[in-house]
Formats: sequence, structure tokens, C-alpha cells
Amino acid sequence: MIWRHRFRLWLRNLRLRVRFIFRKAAVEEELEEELQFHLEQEFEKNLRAGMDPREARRQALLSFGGTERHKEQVRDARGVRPIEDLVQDLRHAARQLGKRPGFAFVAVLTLALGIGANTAIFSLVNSLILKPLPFEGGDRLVQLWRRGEQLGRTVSLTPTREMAAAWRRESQAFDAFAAFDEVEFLYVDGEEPRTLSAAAVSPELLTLFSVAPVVGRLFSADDAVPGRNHVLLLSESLWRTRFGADPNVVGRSIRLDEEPYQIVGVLPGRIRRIFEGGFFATEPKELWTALPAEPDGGWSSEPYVLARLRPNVSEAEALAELEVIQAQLQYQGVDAFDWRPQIIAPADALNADLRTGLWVLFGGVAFVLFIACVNISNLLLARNLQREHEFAVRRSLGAGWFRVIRQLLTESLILSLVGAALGLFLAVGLIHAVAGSLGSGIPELRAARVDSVVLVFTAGLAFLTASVFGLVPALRIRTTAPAELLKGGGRGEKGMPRQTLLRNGLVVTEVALALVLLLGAGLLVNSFQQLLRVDPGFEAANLLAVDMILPETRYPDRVARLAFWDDAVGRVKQLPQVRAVTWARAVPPQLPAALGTVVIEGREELDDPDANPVHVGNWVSREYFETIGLPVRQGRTFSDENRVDFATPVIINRTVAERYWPDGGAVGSRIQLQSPFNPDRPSPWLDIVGVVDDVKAWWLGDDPDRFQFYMPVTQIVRAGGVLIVRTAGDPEEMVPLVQEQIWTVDPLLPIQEAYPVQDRLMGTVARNRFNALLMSSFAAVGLFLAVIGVFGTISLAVGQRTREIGVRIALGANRAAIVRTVVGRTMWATGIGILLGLALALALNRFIQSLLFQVRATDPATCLGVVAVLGTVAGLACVLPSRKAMAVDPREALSEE
Amino acid sequence: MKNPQADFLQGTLDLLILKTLALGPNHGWAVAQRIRQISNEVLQVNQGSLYPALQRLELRGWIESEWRKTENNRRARYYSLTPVGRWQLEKVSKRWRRFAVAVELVLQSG
Repeated sequence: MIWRHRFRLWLRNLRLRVRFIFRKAAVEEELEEELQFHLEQEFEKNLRAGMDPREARRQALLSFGGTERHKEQVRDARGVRPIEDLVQDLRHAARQLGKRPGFAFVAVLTLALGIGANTAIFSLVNSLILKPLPFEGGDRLVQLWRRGEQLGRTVSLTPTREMAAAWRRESQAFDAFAAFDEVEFLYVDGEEPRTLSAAAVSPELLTLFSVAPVVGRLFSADDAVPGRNHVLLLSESLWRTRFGADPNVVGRSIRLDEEPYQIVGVLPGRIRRIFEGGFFATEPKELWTALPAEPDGGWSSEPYVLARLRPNVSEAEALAELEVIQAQLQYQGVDAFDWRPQIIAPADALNADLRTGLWVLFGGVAFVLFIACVNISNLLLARNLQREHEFAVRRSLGAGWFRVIRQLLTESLILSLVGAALGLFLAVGLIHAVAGSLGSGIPELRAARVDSVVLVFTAGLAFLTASVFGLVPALRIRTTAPAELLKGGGRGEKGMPRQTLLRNGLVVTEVALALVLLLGAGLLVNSFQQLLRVDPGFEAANLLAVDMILPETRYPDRVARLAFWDDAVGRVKQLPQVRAVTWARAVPPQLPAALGTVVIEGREELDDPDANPVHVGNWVSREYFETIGLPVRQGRTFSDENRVDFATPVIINRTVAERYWPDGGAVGSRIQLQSPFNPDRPSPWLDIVGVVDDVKAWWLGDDPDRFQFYMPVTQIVRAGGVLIVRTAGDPEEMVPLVQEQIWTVDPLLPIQEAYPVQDRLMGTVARNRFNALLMSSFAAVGLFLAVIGVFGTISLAVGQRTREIGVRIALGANRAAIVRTVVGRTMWATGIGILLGLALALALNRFIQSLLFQVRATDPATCLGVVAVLGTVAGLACVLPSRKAMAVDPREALSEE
Repeated sequence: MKNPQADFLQGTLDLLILKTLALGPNHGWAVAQRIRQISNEVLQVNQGSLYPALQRLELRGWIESEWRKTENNRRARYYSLTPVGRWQLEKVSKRWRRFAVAVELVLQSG
């Protein structure tokens, strides 16, 4: 009852207020009429009391008091004052900004740049670190792994079938489980065989991701039954490019790996971003098949296992529960090895370097925005100085200083909101560039998106920047007393020293921030150059690699596979542009890793605590070393007799050879490899037949101390291999020719990937390149803004003191001395800014150190260079204003007043 | 901004306006006149507080206004009590009476 009543009252009130605001003229007219009526009644009363008309009018007016004041009070009582004021402020602000379009243009553009860049980087941080899984319950989704301590290193693997089944069966901490695996399929599209990158997913996964199919259906539990899992979901892009977006594609059957699969639906493009994001960071998937589950709930292929925490269950609680389940498994003897469960949250899954890099870039871009704010602050200060007269007039007309400040803040807010709106467009462009060419080689970046969180961030940033750059100039006007200003003809010379102090403070801030930015960029660029200077150990230029997987059906054994490779190598060798051809299991920078210890015959007790337990191994053919340009330092490469024999030759890298055989003699010694997973079953004794140079096995900045070994590829021939071609010219151009030769050997063989090795090698430093590139751009913008700031400050200082300079010149002062005093102050401020910046950089350097390769964050050369650049540029910014100061004509300067 | 005395006086003015309008709808000038007459010229209502108070009371929903003709055929804004206003008047006058009695007691005890 009471609520209904309140609601009616509220509605009535709203109607009244709406009328106050939108029918203001009518409301005012009524008020005027009402007061007029009152006055007339009073007048008539006085007449009746016997006064003559003039006296009656006078008395009525006298008793009534000031009409305008009464009106004001009634207006106040209407309770819509704040809104009216806001509307008035906005109008006034727009008018003021329109009066000086140049200022507004510069300010809005600067802000758009700053806010746009911040929005773009934030959207990366948001979609990769803060909210990598943008769907309901995504923040509760974790990956479940098994972890074991071996040789002082932690090894993490996906859980075994028994583990996954037990966890799934017995755990109460999770409300959903799912799994996925990466697979590749041979698909013959018309004539040309292709490999399609696919994910085998459990039906629950797509439900967890809350995706709806574009057409058709998702997988059902029935599809996960082994033997019935030949069902297929297409990616939207494959559906559009290969199937002409035909909605009737559902029900059709296509052959993958020479087996029929039935298409049941099409998944939207959104799911690609989820998979390519930080949590999974997989290659783009073109299709999805159902992952068969075992009756016990586990998966025999040991896929990635995902689980969703129940609401209010913490990671730690869930882990404790899994530990208990795992202990039971061990007790029952199901788990032979001492594996512990491990929970990986989306944020942990992201590459640590990438994460640090993003935070550092976020910091850098925040600095840019801060410099932009300081610049606009400076502009506003100068502008407010010219508007002091206006403020004084407004204040003497009764506007409180709070009202005037609010007016100024409204102007700032308009600037930053317009800037933010423009910045948003800029951000979308930047994100596009980052996901494309800027971030090439970093697939995670493709997950970047602008969502509601980003929009809220941008809006918040607009308000924050408005208060940062608007508050100081607005508060500054508080100190100027209106009467004095109006008297003094608009020149508040009393405020000058404080004004100068504030200005110089702004210069100090800008220079300090710019220095930190420049130093950050300098270090990252320096580090990237160091990486580029690294010798990979082989000749990567003009080297083409062709990855292939021989289908099991046609190449069931060693003999068939060897025959294929021999044939392929022989044919490609015939091509005119080819200098050399070989094949191996892999090629740098993607060599297989192995974990273990090296045992040297006769020195079995040798236990090297410094040995890097992560090894690099490759299985290569005889011509491998010559083809990739890896020099043999001692001994020989493999010979043809090594194709099938019992003695197993091995070739090792120089660093390890020199460590264990400092006086030579590695060749002829025998070693054994021990794996932590099979400690009782070491490899057979291997004869060292040669020593080669170290190569960068995984990336250009790789540790040099790893044990690298090579064995004949002919001994264990796996399905996968790589054809390595040394070309005379651009390897990219050779791709079709090489492909053609391979297809003459086997017209149905898909080529996994053909790529120049040099490109792949550069891809390993893509993150370093990205960081250096973005930070340099930020630093360039920051430097530019800071220089404009310094230039503006000095120009204004010279402009304001023209009269003083004129007087001093008239009194015979040395012009150069005058310039020194005017410019000197700003140079001092620049100097202090440089020192402060160095101190700030020192405080921040631990954040950037982990991103640097062979460069200390305190690298003196970089520091000196940055200081020199900043000092020079600041000095140049002084030149024009000083020349203006030098050229002051005393007569003109004095007659200006 | 507000001092307690002003609040007190404002509350009193609101009460007086409500009380006056309880006798029947009337325009602002008449309300002021009647307050003066009833209080034997003791309470002078300033126009500067009367009209804002009327505005406030209207927003609170205690009174409402409409434009009508006076006996002399002049257009004037007439205010009248709403049911909520009537209820409010009773509540406030009870409180006021208690308060007045209390003040009286204090004064007498001296």
C-alpha cells in the first residue's frame, strides 16, 4: 500500500521536475505571473488602506523585496538546480572550446592518441591476462595436469587416463569436466592434399564454452562413444571458404585420413579466439571432431583436461582434494610414478614473458597518457591565464569559486570524452594491427577484443584523465581575487612566481616520464638487437624446410618410409635452384627436447650438478650438417653403414665436448643417456663419432650450455619428418617446385608446412620484436609530447616576461644574460626531470629486466644515450623561444601595456 | 549552509502553510495574509520564503496547485492540501503541540 503510494508520489514528482527542465520558459512565466499577482494584491490592499497610488506601489514593492532574488529561491526549491547547472556548464564549455578550436583540436587529438593506445593495450591485458575466457564461468575454468619433480626440474604432463577418470569420478570441487586434443587430418580437397588442423573435443567442452552452432548441432554424449566418433564440426571460416556457406552441409560426409566423417554442424568464429587465446594458444583450428571417452570417464589419448571449479571453491581447496584422490590411486598401485596433481588457471597458462611484456607495455602507455595530461594541463594553465578576466567577472556576478572550478572541469571532461570516443576508434585499429602484422609470430595476441570491460575502462580513463589534467589548472584560479584582477586590468603579476614554479614542475614531470619511456624503449631495442646479433650456429638464410607426415596406411614401416625419403630427396636434388637436400626428424628452431642425464663410460660416478638436464636431440641423415651449414669440428658425420647396425653412433655439440673432454678425446668415447621416466632402462652405449658446433635449438636467446646430440635418422624412422633444402635464391619461391616434386613421388601426400628456416628463427624473437616496437612507438610519442611541453613552457615564460625583458634591455642589460635567466630555469627543470627520471627508472628496472637479453636494465651506454637524446631535444626546444627573447624590442615591449 | 534555527523556522512555516490551506484552497498572497491575521500580525511571512516553501511542499506531494480565477476575475495560482498533506499536517501539529507544551513547561519552571 505504502509503496504504491510512494511510487505515485515519485511519478508525480518526476512529472513536475521534467516540466521544470523541459518547459522552463512556461514555468518561469507562471512564476513571474504569480509574483506579479502577489505584488498587485499587496498594492490593492494598500490602496484600500487609503494610501495614494504612488505610495501604495512604493510600499508594496518595499515589503515585497527583490523579485529576482525570490525567483532564484523558488528555482532553488525546484530541486533541479544541479541538472540545470550541468546543462548550462556544458553549453558554456562547448562555446568556450569552440572559441579556440585550435586548442580544442590539439587537446582532443593528444587525448585520443593517449587514451586510444591505453585502450588497445588494456584490451590485450584484459583478454589475455584478466579475462582470457570470455564466457559464463570462464573465470572458474582450469586445466588439470600431473606434475613430477625430476632432476631438480618440474615436469608437467597431461593426466593419464586413470588419473583423469578418478579425478572426474571422485572430485566434488568441480562441476564440469571436459577434454580436448590437437590432431591433424589429411584431407584431399579436389586434387591437392592438405593437412587440416583440428581439435578433438569432448562434447562437454563446447557446452562449457557456451557456443551455439551456426548451423546443425553440437556434439552429444553419444558422439564420444569410441567407434561412433566420426562426426565433424566445421569452423565458420572453412565452411565459408570451402563449402560456400551452404546450410545443407549438415549430414554430408567428407574423408579425413581416408576415413569418412559426417558433418553435424558449423561452429562460430568466436571459438577460434578462445582457442587461440592465452589459455590454449593453439594454431587456428579448422575443424572439430568428437574425442572418444572411455567407459570409466577417462580419455586414453591423454588429452588436455579442463575442469570448472564450483562457485565458491578455491583452487587450493580443489587441489587439496585432488591430492587425496591421487594418494589413493598410488595406494591402490594404479599410479606407478609419483605424480602430483597440478591446477593451471588461465592466467598461469600464459607465457610469463608475454605477460610481463604486456604489463610493461601497459605501464609505458600509461606514461604516455600521463605526459599527454601534463601537456594539456600546461595548455589549460596558459589558457586560464588569458581567461582570468572572465572568471573575475563571473565571480563578481555571484558565482562561487566552486562553480567556476566546476565549469572548468566540465570543459576538461568534454575534451577527454571526445578524445576517448576518438581514441576508441584508434584502439580498434591498433588492436587490428597488433593481431596482424605488429604481433606476427605471437598467436595469443589474436585473442584481443574490445568488450564491455574495455569500454568501461575507456570511460573511466576519460574521467580520470579529465581530473588529472583539469584539476590543477582549475584549482589554480582559486587564488586570484576577483576585485584585484579587475582593478589590475587583467594581469595577475603577483601570481607569477607560483605560476612559474608550477610550470617548471610540469616540465620536470614530463621530462622524467619521457626519460623512463625512452630508457625502457632503449633497453628493449638494445636487447632485440643483441638477439639479432646471435649466431644461430648454422646458416639459416636460403634454407627451406618442408614438414611432412607419412600416412600410416601407405607407409606402415621403416622400409616404405625410407624409400619415400630417398626418392623425395633424389627428385628435389634435380631442381636447378637447389644446392643441397637432406632430411631429418626436425630442424632448428624446433628441435625435439629430451630430459635426462649423460653418463660417460668409465666415468659413471661423474655427477655434474651444473649440467642442464634439458637436452636437445635430433635424428638426422648424413648430409644434414653440410646442408644446414653446421661445421663438424672433430671426427666425422654418419656414414652409410650406419643405416642398419648395432653400434649406435652419436654426434655431440662442442660446448659439452669441451666441458667433459677439455683435452680432446671426445671422439671415440662412449656415452649413455638416462631418462628420468625410465631410470632403469638407459639407452645403449653410444659411440661418439663427431663433434659439431652448438645450434640455437629453440630460440635465438637459448642457453648455450645444453647437451645437443644427433643420431642417424635411419635407425628409428618415425612417420613425421622434414625435408631440408638449401636453395640458391629466395626459398619462398621454391615452395611450389619442391611441392611438385614431392607429389610426383606421392600425389596424395599432404605437405604439413613449407617455410624458410630464417623466418621461423625470427619468429622465435617475435615477442622481443613486439615489445621493442611498441615501446619505441610509445617512447617516440612520449618524447614528442614532452618536447612540445618544454617548448610551450619556455615560449610562455618568454611571452609573459616580454615587458620585464624590455625594461632590462632598456636599462642596458646584456641580452644573452637575459636569455640565460629565462631559458636557464627551464633547462634546470629539464635537468631535474632527467635526474628524477633516472631515479624512477632505477626503481622500475626490475620489472623490465626479465624481458632483456644480455642487457642489464642499468646498462650505462643506454642510459647515457637516452640522457643525451633528451637533453639535446630539450635544448633544441629552447632555441626558438630564446631567439624570440633575444629579439625583444624594448620600445615595443614597454608600449604594449 | 543550513543552520538549525533556519530548519526550525522552515518547519514552522511549512506547518503554518498547511494549516492555512486546510481551511480551503488559496493563492500565495492570501496564505501570507491569513497567517499574519491569525497570528495577530506577529508572524510576518517573507515572500522570499513563502514561494520556495510552496514549491517545496508541492514537490513533497503535500499540496498541489492549479490556475484559477479569483472573485475579481484575475488569474491566480491556487494551492490546495492533498490527502497526504492533510495527514502530514495532523502529524506535524501533534508534534508541534507537544513541543509547545514542553517549551511552556520549561519556561514555567523558571
